[in-house]
Amino acid sequence: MPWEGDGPTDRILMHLAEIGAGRCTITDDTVISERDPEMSQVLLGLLVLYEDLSHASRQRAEAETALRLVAEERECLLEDRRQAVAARDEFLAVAAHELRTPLATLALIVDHLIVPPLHQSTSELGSVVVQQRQLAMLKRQVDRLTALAAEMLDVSRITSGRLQLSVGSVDLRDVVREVLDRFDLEVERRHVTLRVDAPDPVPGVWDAARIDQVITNLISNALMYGAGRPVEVSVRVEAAQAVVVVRDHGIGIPEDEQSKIFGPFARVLTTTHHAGLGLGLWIAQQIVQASGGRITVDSRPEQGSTFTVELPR
Amino acid sequence: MSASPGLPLMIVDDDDDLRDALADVMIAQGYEVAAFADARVALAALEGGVTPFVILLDLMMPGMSGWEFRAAQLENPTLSLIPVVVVTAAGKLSDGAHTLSNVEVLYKPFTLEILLPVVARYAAEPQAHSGRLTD
Repeated sequence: MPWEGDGPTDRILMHLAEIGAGRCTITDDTVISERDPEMSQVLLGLLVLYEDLSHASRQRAEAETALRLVAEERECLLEDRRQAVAARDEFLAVAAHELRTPLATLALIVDHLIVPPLHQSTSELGSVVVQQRQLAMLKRQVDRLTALAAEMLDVSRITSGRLQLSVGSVDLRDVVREVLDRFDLEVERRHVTLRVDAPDPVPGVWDAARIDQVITNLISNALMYGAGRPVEVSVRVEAAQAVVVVRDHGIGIPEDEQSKIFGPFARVLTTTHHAGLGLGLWIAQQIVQASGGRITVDSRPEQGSTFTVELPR
Repeated sequence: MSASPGLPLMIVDDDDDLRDALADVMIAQGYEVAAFADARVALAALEGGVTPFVILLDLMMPGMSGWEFRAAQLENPTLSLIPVVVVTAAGKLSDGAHTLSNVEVLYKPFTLEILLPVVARYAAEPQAHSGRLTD
């Protein structure tokens, strides 16, 4: 190499080559112990040059790291946004599906009632019975659409922080009994055994209509996902809390899905469809939390799910 | 008048009210109806010898979906000849749509004015459409 000699130019060239490669063997001691004052000045200059370059290089690395972090953060935000848009689109698809089904029934029955069929084989009495049944069918579709509209309104209330509770003295056992009474027909239709364990009154101060909504959602889920097996409901006072437990022995929830079920738009639109907007548990959790309580799930696939609602008394 | 002497119309839909409504209007039009809430049971009925002139098939059902029902139907050379009309509340057919190629689709909600001519066409020519159903 050309600077392997020990002349001043060779030494300077060697140090410059080192600095160019990102290292430096010049130290303060080297500068001080240099006998040639000019060379000492040159060495000092090279040391300062090396330190300036190192500093600039560190600053550039820091700036690059900062830029990378900003880019990563931006990517995270974009991904969140993509997921939010996907969740919204999926919600709209589910909502449209849920609206179309009762509308289809309404459309058919209304057409059928308006336009006399070509072939009416039933007797007059028979046709009155059929019409009564069809009117009941219409009523159910109106109820379904009303419930869907109420659920969507709840979403809007919750997301805008306008969920207000109207609390009063309530016996939780009565609330649960009223909900269960409303499920009589469905329980019968599904041939499900419903066991209730509610030995004592469970008085407290809650929003009865909202707690009714929570229990209704849990029982409805237990029947829907309970695979026709028995459903158990218990209401009791434990320590300072009122505790409602709804247990089914149905399809259960895989462990990796359990954290998602209380999120909005939880249920994915799949080919194996279960009715509903997938918002029930999210709304239930919002109501329970607004009441100062908590709702938890314990579930195993193919063994069933246990939902526990704890409310302060 | 029964437009399809001896052959029933099959309805496969898990929604109780919609299935009943479809059955009611079709019975009132003089059709014989075999209605099923569960696609597996409907498939078993086909395998057991029930031969509808057309199947009104919902897609999104718990248990066996309409897509799975259709795929199973196409695997059986005899059953694959039975025409299917998909009745769906889904906005698009997406997954498994290839098994639904050449299948007529009615998007819910639909009026009787739309439904009746479709059913009448299949009733008038039982299995005449089978040629384009087997890919």
